[in-house]
Amino acid sequence: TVDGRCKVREAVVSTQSTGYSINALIFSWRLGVVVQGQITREEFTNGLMALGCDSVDKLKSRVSQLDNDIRHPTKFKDFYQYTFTFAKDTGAKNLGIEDALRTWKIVLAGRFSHLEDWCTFIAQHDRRSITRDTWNLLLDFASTINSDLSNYDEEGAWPILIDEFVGWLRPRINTSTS
Amino acid sequence: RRVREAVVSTQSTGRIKEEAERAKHYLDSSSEGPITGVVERELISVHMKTIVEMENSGVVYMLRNDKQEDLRCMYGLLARVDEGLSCMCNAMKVYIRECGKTLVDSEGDISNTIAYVQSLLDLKERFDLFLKNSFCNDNMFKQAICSEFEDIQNQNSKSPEYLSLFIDDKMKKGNKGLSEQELERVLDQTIVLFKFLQDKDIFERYYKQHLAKRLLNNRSISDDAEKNMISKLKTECGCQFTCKLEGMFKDVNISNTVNENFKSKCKNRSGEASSSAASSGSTVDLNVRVLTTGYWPLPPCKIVCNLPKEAEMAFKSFKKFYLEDYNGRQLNLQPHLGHADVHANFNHRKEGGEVTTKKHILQVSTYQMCVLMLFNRQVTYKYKDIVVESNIPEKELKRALLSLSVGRVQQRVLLKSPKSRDITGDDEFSVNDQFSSKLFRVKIQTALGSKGESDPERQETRQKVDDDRKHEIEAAIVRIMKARKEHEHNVLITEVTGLLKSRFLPSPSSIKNRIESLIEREYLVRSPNDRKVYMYLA
Repeated sequence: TVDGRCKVREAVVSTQSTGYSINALIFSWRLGVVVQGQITREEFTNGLMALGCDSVDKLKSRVSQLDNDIRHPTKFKDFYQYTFTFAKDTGAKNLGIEDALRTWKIVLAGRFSHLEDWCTFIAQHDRRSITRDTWNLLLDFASTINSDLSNYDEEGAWPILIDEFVGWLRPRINTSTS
Repeated sequence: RRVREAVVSTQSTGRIKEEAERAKHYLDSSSEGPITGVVERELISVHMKTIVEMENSGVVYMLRNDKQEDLRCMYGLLARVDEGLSCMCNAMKVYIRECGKTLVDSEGDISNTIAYVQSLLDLKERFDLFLKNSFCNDNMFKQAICSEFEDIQNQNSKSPEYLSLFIDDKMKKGNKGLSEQELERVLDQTIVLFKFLQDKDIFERYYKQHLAKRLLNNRSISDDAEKNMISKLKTECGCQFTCKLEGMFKDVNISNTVNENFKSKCKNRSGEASSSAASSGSTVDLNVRVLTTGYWPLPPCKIVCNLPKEAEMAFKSFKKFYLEDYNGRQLNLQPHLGHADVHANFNHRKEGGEVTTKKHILQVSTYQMCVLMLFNRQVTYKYKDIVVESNIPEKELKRALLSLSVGRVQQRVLLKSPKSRDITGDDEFSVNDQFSSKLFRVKIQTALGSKGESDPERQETRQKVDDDRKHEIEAAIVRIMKARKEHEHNVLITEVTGLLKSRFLPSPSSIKNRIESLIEREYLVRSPNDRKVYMYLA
């Protein structure tokens, strides 16, 4: 019904009023939104069906549980990789630095011990965009590499930007521990 | 001291023999071995390091002073004990390294490039002799020598350029009359140095440049000598490089034929219709070389300049002739190459006020010709006007003007005011009527460094080489991945390095860089199960 749709839109807007938040991202991911800021009718209807929401109340309660959706590592990986597509300009291949940093700060919060260092490093680097490959592999890095970088393998086929990050980070870690 | 050393050496050998004899006489033959062993150990092993490194009589001293016999003696002695030879070999390596370093440090002066390479060749020859006469062609020593020379070559980033300049010098006419045999020998030696080079692709680039200059300016000793050298290079590094060079020779030969045909056609034409002589542009005796773009090191973008009318017409006439036979091709004049013989009349004003006309023929570059011809129209020019009139790129224009005005005294065909060596917009140029020369034909050198590039030029060359390398690395990666479909990171790097080794040594990070670029362009993708494995996307 027209009513229902308006209400749903409100609910969506209110959840998205927190702006660029993790919930907004997860929601978009579940809906399969392709273009940031725009939801197609199909995405909307199919998405809500997939979430099992046929009423505004159900939607509201569902939204508050979005965390669960990304609990499992495989699910999170899928979600994380999705955010790259979501955050970048539709026509572009790569993601601009500003958008990348903004997105990382939300999705990797609490999951990457060196997130702050990484953001500092990226901000002062002369690269102006992030490739999909680097984006994806950052998650691998965050999840598998120790805080002290002890298990980082220079010959481990990491993207060059991450190699450079490790090179930049190592002396900083060593000075702070010694 | 040296005497002591030689004596120790012979004494040791003597003592060993003595003990062996004694052992044979008095003891069971089975003791001979152990006793000799003890003697050897005591006399040799324990002291060998000291002996080898002794300042005034050790290995280094002997090498420095060409004591081949003494070295042989020591070699024989040390061969008896473990580690004896490696001890000696290491001392030799240190010495070679020292020599190399002295050489590399001293070549700061550009005019010494030829001397530098010659010294390197001489050093190598010395050690070839040591190897033969003192070290019995021992493989360990042979390899040590090779590896040290490799290091020396690759420490100096200008080695590829210098080696090419050295060969260039030998290949030019009027070269102190080396006999064919001597030339052959020198060239073989340079091939040895070439083998040691890591950056063979840089050498190729310079060799191509220098060869092109030799061919275009007719400065080679002979085609045969050039082709001989090329086939030596081909044996070393395959035909990828050498087939382009062969293309250059073809062009020169074809050009000669085309030229002859053109001239005879012109002659016939001017014989027939004397009334329309003007239309054939036959006031200029034109010689044309037609270069195929792919073979020659030519600048990427088109260079234009304003030719004097006569030259322009002559070129047009040739173009028409050529395109009749080779329809569909494009001919572009290369004004940065080429030269001209220009008739010049100088109006000498003697002291009494008398004016006589002195005639000369000036041999100049194309650019210089364009500049000089301007003075038929006007007596003086400001620099900024010459820029506009000639349309020659400023860097080349300045070079041309300076060489005509403030270069060598015997070449100052133009007057410049002010006389300074730099040029600004309002500087004025005019013909130097007082110009004189003993020679009728005066060759004007452009201030071109025939010995090596300037540093900014080197950087440009380096940049081009790096760009080419990026492409070669990518091509290698794609070739391997196409065949394998799937490949692990480290193995891929090793294989790519192996594939390119004969041209240059790619760093693992540069290969990684290209892999990432290929992933971005979706030629490759990482395996979903293993980050370290790449897959080829068809």
